[in-house]
Amino acid sequence: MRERLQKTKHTFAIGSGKGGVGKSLLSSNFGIHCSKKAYKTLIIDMDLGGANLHTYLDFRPTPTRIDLWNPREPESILKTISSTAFPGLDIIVGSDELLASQIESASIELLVYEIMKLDYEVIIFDLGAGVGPETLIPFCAVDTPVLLSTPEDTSIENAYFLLKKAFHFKLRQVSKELGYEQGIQEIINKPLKKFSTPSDLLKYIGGSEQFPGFNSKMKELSPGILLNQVRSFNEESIGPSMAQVCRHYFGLDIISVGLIQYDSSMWVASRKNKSKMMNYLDLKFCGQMSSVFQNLLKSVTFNPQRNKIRA
Amino acid sequence: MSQTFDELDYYEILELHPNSSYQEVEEAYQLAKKSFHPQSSALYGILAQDQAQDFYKTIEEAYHTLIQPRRRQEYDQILRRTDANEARLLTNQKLGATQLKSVPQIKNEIPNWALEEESFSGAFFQKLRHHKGLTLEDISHKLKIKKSYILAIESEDFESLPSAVYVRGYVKSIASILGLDSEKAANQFMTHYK
Ligand SMILES: Nc1ncnc2c1ncn2[C@@H]1O[C@H](COP(=O)(O)OP(=O)(O)OP(=O)(O)O)[C@@H](O)[C@H]1O
Ligand SMILES: [Mg+2]
Repeated sequence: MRERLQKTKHTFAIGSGKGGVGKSLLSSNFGIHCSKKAYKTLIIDMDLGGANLHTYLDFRPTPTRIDLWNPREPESILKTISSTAFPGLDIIVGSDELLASQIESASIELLVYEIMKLDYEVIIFDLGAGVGPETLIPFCAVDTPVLLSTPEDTSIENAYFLLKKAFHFKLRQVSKELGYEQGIQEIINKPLKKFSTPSDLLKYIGGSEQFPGFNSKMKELSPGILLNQVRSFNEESIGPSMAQVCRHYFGLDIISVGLIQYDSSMWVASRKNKSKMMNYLDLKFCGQMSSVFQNLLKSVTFNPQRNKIRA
Repeated sequence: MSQTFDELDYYEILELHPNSSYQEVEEAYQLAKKSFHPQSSALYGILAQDQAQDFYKTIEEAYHTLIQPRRRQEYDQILRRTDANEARLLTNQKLGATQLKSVPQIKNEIPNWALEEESFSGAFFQKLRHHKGLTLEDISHKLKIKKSYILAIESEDFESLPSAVYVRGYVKSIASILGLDSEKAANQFMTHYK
């Protein structure tokens, strides 16, 4: 049975701040999952400095890559798409040529919006490490950003750093879009009012009644938190706890979308043909992965399980 | 009150609806305690140690207010006409500050030798309890289980224990307070019991 999305298109971005935590592994498997559920799916490698998503899909490097896109010809985006061995799953292969050509933020924004206009039901951006514009733009633009972390303290710290950057990026975007740039700047720069958290700031803005619609636009940024490489029972509560800490700190509707254990058979499995990879992986790992994917597909409107903080 | 989340009322702190049941208050408290425990890894890079400590105290205060019917009623009434900070002060003025029972601080982490445990014997529970610096009194006080039962479980003295259903419940609670997978621990322990 095919799960229903409530609209014809849904966009996701998987980011983490830290490198090597499993973004590409999970994006590629999420893409495969969606295509098997008969959604027409596109997956984009936005890791412009270390593109390798294609390898997770058994795809050789190809000249059909993201750098065939030309900002002056928006429809050139069609030239960047390749089909994969999985029916219904297409890919835009990444490339560092795009960065090498000194592409500007404005062009990356254009690129992301051109991709989001394409005729697919599910669109997944696999982001690179770090917090550059090629990460922040898609992370803030999609319907459901996914913040990936492992239980390691450095990974958690970098995930939060990405979220802080995204919050400020979104703040500027929304201020501009609604024409509140000056007013919001004044609030942030108020010498006597110090906001100890982003949530405080949103509360103040919401309470001032000068900026109708601002907070609901900000809340479009409500990532799901996904914890990968969980190794012990004790670590299982970290994802839900991170989500709760983020709800308090950012004042956004952030929830945990599940956890995936560390699978020590990965190094064997990853040497196999990728379409057979699942056969070599731990059953529990596969089960957790598909329950996370089902969660994400249900998540068109995220609802924190708990009653969310009153605005 | 913590400076960081200064303006939150007790319901917002525990992420509860004003009509929440006592059961929901209890569950929300358990989650919040895990999230904001000063040692919680979910706080890396978000709250400094002292901020976390302050907020942790506020969580205790929120819980002890919302779990006591008379206190909660008083708080609700005051909250209806004022803000979170005032409501807290006025409630404390009227009923005295919350008597926070000093609950023994339980170390969250599980030592490496315990991660591999499969058999969950009585001796294992005892070793882990000692590792965490908990006395029989601490556990008995917190879980409301007789000390003699805890000791009997740890020494697998099944003669001195009540019927299996009770024992299973006790073992689950003990395992959970020690930070173990309580379901798994109880299942394994009960295989010794039979
Ligand atoms: N749950 C897991 N269990 C075992 N190995 C894992 C798990 N998740 C990821 N890995 C392994 O970790 C390595 C890094 O994963 P991946 O390439 O997906 O990370 P990434 O976040 O995309 O990295 P980058 O930031 O460099 O793009 C891979 O070898 C992958 O197979
Ligand atoms: Mg990657």
